[in-house]
Amino acid sequence: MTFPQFVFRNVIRNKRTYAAYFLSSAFSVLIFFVYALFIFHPDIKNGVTASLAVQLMVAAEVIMYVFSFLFVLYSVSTFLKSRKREFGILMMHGMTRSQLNRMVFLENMLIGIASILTGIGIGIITGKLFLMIGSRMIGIEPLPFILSTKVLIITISAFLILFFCISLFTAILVRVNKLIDLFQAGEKPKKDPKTSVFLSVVSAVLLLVSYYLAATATVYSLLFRMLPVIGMTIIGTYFFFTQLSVFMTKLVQKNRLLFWNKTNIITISSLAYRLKDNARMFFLVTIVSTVAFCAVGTLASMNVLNEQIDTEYPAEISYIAMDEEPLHQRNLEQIESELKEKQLSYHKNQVPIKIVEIASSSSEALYPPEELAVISFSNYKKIAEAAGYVFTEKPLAEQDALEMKSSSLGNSNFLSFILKQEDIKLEPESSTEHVVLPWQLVYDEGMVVSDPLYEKLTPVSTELFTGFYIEDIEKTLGIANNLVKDGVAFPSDDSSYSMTVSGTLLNIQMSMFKMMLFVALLIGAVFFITAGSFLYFRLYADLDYDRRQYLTIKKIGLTDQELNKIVTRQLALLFFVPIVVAFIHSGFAFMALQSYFTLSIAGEVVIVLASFLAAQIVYFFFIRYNYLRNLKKSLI
Amino acid sequence: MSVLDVRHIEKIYEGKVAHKALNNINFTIEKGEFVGIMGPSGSGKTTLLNLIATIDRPTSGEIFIGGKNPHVLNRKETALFRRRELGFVFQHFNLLDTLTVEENIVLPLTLDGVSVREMEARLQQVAKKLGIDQILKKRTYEISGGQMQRTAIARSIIHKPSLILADEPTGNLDSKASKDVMETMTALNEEDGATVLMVTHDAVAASFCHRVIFIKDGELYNEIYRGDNRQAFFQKIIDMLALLGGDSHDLSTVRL
Repeated sequence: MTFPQFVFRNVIRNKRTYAAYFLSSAFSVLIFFVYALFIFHPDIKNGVTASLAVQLMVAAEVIMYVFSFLFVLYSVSTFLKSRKREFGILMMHGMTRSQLNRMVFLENMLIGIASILTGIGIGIITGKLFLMIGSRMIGIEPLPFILSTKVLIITISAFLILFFCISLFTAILVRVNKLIDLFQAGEKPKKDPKTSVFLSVVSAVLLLVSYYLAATATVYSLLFRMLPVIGMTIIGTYFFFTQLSVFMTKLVQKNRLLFWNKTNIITISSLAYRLKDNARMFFLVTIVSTVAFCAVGTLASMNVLNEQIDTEYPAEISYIAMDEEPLHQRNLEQIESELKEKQLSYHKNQVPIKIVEIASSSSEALYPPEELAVISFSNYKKIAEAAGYVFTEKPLAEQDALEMKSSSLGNSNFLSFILKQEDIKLEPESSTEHVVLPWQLVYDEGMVVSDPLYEKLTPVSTELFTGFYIEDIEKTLGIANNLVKDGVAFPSDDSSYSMTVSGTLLNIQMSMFKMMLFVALLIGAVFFITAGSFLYFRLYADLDYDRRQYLTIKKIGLTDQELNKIVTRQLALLFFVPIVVAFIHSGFAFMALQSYFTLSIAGEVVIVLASFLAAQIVYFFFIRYNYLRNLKKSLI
Repeated sequence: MSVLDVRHIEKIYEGKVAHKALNNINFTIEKGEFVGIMGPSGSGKTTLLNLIATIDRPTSGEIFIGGKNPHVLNRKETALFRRRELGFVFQHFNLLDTLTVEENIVLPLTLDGVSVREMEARLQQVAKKLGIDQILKKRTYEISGGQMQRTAIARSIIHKPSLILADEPTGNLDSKASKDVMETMTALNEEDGATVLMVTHDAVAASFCHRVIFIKDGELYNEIYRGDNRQAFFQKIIDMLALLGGDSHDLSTVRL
């Protein structure tokens, strides 16, 4: 038997031991491969409108690769830990350090290559299905299955590099101090987990403060608060698992009524150890899950943006003519004829906008606005009502002005202006209740003034706003495509009009959103499954120790039901504590995010979190079943 | 009334080559007796103990503990039976290292849902008797082997079982600690009338018993009583072991 033969047989004949590691590696390869199939599909570039989306997907692929790296590394390290005794036996019989390293290296490469082949094999089988789901999700024509050599080469080389690096790493991971330690691995009694009251308090304070900051964030404060809040949450979470949670279980242990009550004594006492031992893993799982929840939740919330389009663009088609060229008449006629062609009923209105010159303003911008778009209050009322709003604002007094709201987010500090004409002061104290002109069309600042004041103003130029109001936004898709690009035409030197078409805007936003959701779901799923695998590996590594403990208790007299109860509770804590913490974290993150939306995103967020929870519950029962089966194998 | 009644026990391990581990074993233990089981390696001592401990089932024959046959009970009832009627002392102590000494001791009561006040009262009683009342708050890694075994003994008697089963209780202890543990068990037997069945390799430990049963190749070989003189009893045990032809290490008092 040569050395490579020994290594080979070692792996082949220990299929069971290596199975978990092998399967998780193969899974990483599979996900990477099918995703690459999708991204590098020749049709995808034609099918997807935004090139940004493709870049986004490539970025996602890179993230996935980095993550696979960490994931495989973690799997290897727990796997090696459970084999300490085996290494002890080998070294006892005279295996040198370098031989051990070589063995581990060869084993890893063997498993690595096998999992690359398996992953790609399964990928080729399931690839078509994945392409179908993918293209359906982002709303493009179903993609035919094309296996390009490029994808194969990328996947194989990426993972060969990955396994090579990790095989090198593992040599460092197998640290052997004393041979006796290898033999006694897992047999030495565990030391009492230590906690620091100070750090526990720090953790609680950090978490509470960051929750408070996140919950009270507004659009403006969010930017400044974001980084400190993320930092505080991460540190707080770390100490929560390493200190606070252990500290709390110790407090519970002091209460004998609770602690010395039937199976509680076993559940709670080992809980402190499990928490301490797994603190880092819990921390990682929590952060990873939080990221996954936030990514998917944020994108699911984007759906609200689509509903918001109606408030941002009150007129389904807005057209502003900046001069009185006959061109505008032709354009408007074209729009109307297109609407008629599509048999859309609409009503339209026209409102003049006066452009006045500004002498000075309270703006602190580097280039303060020089011109101001002004409409009269009665006209504001006219278009607001045309857009379907119930108009409740009080008419303005003569000198009053309202800032024209250009986005539904609103603004809290209002600029005041002094006009060149007679030094008229416009000092708005609030803004209009509704958006009537989309922000793209009001380039500088806009103002609504009282009718008498409006009459008095002498403009440098007058523009004419035409709004077409149609019930069904989506049907305006593609109207006047020769006039607007991607639904918006900005005023520029070449054209003397600006225009928005809501249907086209919605369509672009939707396809972008679908694409991003697809990407986020994939990454979210990968993160989520990885987090689950971390838990599984951890359990697997501790199985021997747990078995010994349970065997003792079984001998003293523990019924099967009681054993099931203890195991279920402990596993439930392992599975749901990180997830619940991640839920709370992302809940507060969404509260902060809510400040970006005028409509509530609660519905979307609840759906996302609920589906993650459902997946976790299924996973929990699956693992519980396997774990109990494994545990009971050697019990009486 | 006999606490333990073993009748015509047979145990066959199935497999490619069936192996008869125990063959027609009969004996009884009366209440308050302290009985040792000895025999060479592979003679079936541990198998016998496992059968009595309800951890394993006999192929044929019956075992009655306190008049009840635990092998006709279902799994749950068997577990409850062990918890209430039997106390265990193991060679490797088998204390849970996640618990303190006192928590280990009250474990059988806790699992049975006894009130905390009752548990604390019994704990104090037992701990005093075994001389471990100073280390109750300690963790298992902070105490010596002898203290660990006394903790395990405390755990085995706290629920007042009808039978205490000890599997090589001195197997992991030095001679001083062995002596302590055996004297503790003798005291429990004499003062509280605890019934003890002990499997051992150690002739010194066995000499503390009232009676020693010898097994060879799965069958009862002989049985000797102590009488008054422990030294003479020890000599008889040594002679019997020599006759049994066990390996020389079976004679050693300290086994590593």
